[in-house]
Amino acid sequence: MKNRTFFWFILPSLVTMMLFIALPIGSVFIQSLHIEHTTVLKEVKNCGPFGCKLEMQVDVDATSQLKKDRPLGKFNGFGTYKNRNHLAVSELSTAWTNSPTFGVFLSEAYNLPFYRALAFTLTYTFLVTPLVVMLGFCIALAVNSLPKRIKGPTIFVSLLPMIVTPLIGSLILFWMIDSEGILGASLQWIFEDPSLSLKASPTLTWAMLIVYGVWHSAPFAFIIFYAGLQTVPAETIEAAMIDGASRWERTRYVILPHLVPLIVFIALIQLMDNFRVFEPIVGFSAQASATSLSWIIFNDLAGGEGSFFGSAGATSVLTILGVAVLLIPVLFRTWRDFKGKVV
Amino acid sequence: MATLWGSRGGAVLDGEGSTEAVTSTTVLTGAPTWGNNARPASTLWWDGIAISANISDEDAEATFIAMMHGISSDVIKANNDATVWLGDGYTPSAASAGVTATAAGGAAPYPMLPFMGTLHGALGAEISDFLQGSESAEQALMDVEAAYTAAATEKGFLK
Amino acid sequence: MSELIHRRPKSLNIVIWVFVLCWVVAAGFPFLWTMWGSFKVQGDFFSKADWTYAISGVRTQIETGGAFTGDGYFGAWVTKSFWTAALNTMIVVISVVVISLTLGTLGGYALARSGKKYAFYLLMLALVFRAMPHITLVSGYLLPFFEWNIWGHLPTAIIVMVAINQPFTLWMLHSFFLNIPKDLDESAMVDGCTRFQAFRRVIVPVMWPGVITTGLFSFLLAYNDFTVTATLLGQSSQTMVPKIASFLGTTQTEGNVMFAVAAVVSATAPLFILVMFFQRQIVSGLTAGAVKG
Repeated sequence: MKNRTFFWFILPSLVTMMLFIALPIGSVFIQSLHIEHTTVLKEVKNCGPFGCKLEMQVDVDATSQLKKDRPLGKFNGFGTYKNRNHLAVSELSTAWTNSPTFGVFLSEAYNLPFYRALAFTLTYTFLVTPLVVMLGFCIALAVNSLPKRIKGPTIFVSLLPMIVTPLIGSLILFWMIDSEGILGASLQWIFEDPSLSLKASPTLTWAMLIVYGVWHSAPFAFIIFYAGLQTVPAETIEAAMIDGASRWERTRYVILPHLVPLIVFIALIQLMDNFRVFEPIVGFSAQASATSLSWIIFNDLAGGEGSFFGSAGATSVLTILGVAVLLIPVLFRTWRDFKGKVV
Repeated sequence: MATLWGSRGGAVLDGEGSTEAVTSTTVLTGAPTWGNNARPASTLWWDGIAISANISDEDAEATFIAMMHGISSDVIKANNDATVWLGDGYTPSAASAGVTATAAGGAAPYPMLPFMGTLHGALGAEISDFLQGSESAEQALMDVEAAYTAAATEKGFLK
Repeated sequence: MSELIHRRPKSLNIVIWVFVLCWVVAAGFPFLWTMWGSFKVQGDFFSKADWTYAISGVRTQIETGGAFTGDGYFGAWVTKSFWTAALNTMIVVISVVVISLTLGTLGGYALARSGKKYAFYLLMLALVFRAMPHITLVSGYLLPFFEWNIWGHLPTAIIVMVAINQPFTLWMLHSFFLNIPKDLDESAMVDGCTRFQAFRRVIVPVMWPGVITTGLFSFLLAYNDFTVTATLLGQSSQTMVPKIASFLGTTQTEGNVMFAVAAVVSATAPLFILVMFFQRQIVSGLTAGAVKG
């Protein structure tokens, strides 16, 4: 294809991507380097339904004039990155020198909002991903051995947790595990503990979110493994059987190696997707016990207590750095696959 | 005994979602006082009126008239039980007795200051550790202060 | 596969059946249960007294006089005008799908036919873009959108979702166009067509299976989105998912859980129908990237 033609074909798509994906990444970085102007205060007499008094108030005109002159705000360098609500450099170094053991240092670090979110995000990512691969593989093996008539409906039901809106899916589960809902009440009955509440305990909240994550993503892995199973050459399996390989050995030495590329594919996609875990925290109202990087950004932007664009920017840049690390193996793999094939 | 938002009183006392045993034995009353103070140890979070700056003067005037009508004693009398009113002409119900008593006792209005939102954010994020029992109150308050200082600096309320 | 492979010991068969049954219950029961509960009152679905109330509907009987009630649906759809949110969702979803596919087919076709090095680099770039968490992009939009006064309008959310959707659409359609033989459009060009004419007359008629599959995923992305719609749309232009979140209430505003339950069931219904009719396309779309690559 001629370069010119290619250019016109790709142009609309490229423009939207540049405007709304590439540009924001840059603007987020600039935003993260700024904080709002110092508010100008003045003394005024304020009268409410409960009487009058003198108090300091924001001088709206003067403050908005400042903002008008320099809409980005005050340049703050990497100050926002280093402050207590993000990387907390000075807090961490104090904790490092004052902590008698490494465990104490870790718990001090866990008390800081960014590291707390990072801890959950990483735990979630690295627990959900392998569990999804394993569960998906088991479901695929099991469904594959069902009679043909039942396969269709089973696949239909299996797709539901993945297709349904993440926020809605988490709400549905959340209502069931509510202590007044069916699962919550059943658990109270099983453990004979009427005060048992999954929401109250941080550990149980984490477990709940991870269970949700596996529930939501297992169908994805299942479908891909299931399709992969259809491509396992029957002759190889038959040959293995003739050689006297047991069922377990056939699964272990014939089917599994055949599916390794799929395992890698699912794991890489899942690592990236799980790293942005966000909706379940909103759905489960879990922010008291578990926050994620995406959740803090959302909270800074739309948490209802005003917007913190600098903070959101700083956390975004740090999140993008995290994604970049997870991306390296994906890019490497795609690069290798493509090198000989298309170009 | 429990402390709760005044406006949530109605949900405790109405028939829905509550049981007879709860509604017949629950009484709502004003906030308690502390020390030898006569003032209730609570604040009143009242709804104000805001008109945005970028609408025309006629619209602003019409809005103001409409809203003043909305809080007139006639409207209050006609919609006595729709909410808890602080204006003249309101007859307290069982659900709002607590709020009215607190207001009559001279509770302070909630400080509606521009940085309160930031403070709420910091409190909401950091106090949960204490409420879950995983942290001492002192530590939680120190965290609140640190979180607020960082956020308020970003907002331009602190230098 | 031969019959030999399908013969299994009885004990293994039982294990398989029990396992599949457990999974099916885990995957399907929550939806059934919530649908059932949406016709009850809050006192039953979230019973303080006994969870079996949800099945027998004791409070529903007392409060409404029947074992089932449509109060939740009436409250959500009529009182809280969930229908406007449904309408907004429809506008957003249809626009996103149509625009995404238009841009995506042009771009995907070009990428599949180019054969130049830069086409490959563009695909790699798209992969990087796909990995970006949506919320990090949103935090870049918000301030300029406020500044330009385009925050809170449906077109803004639509174009943003189209852009976010592009990397995936490009990849999927690119791999689909690779499977359409090159000779098809190239012979048309030998006959004197320009590249665009060849695309329109020869490729467009045969591309629909791939476009439908890709369209399904664009639909799901737009329909299921919470991040973009919750942050870029205001009260008056809210779509379904953020509206449901607003039914839950906050510290300052009272919510109504049963409205949320009814709205959740209403919003899930179209997805059920979608899966029912397009199960094959969804499965093939999911596997396209993986099994071949």
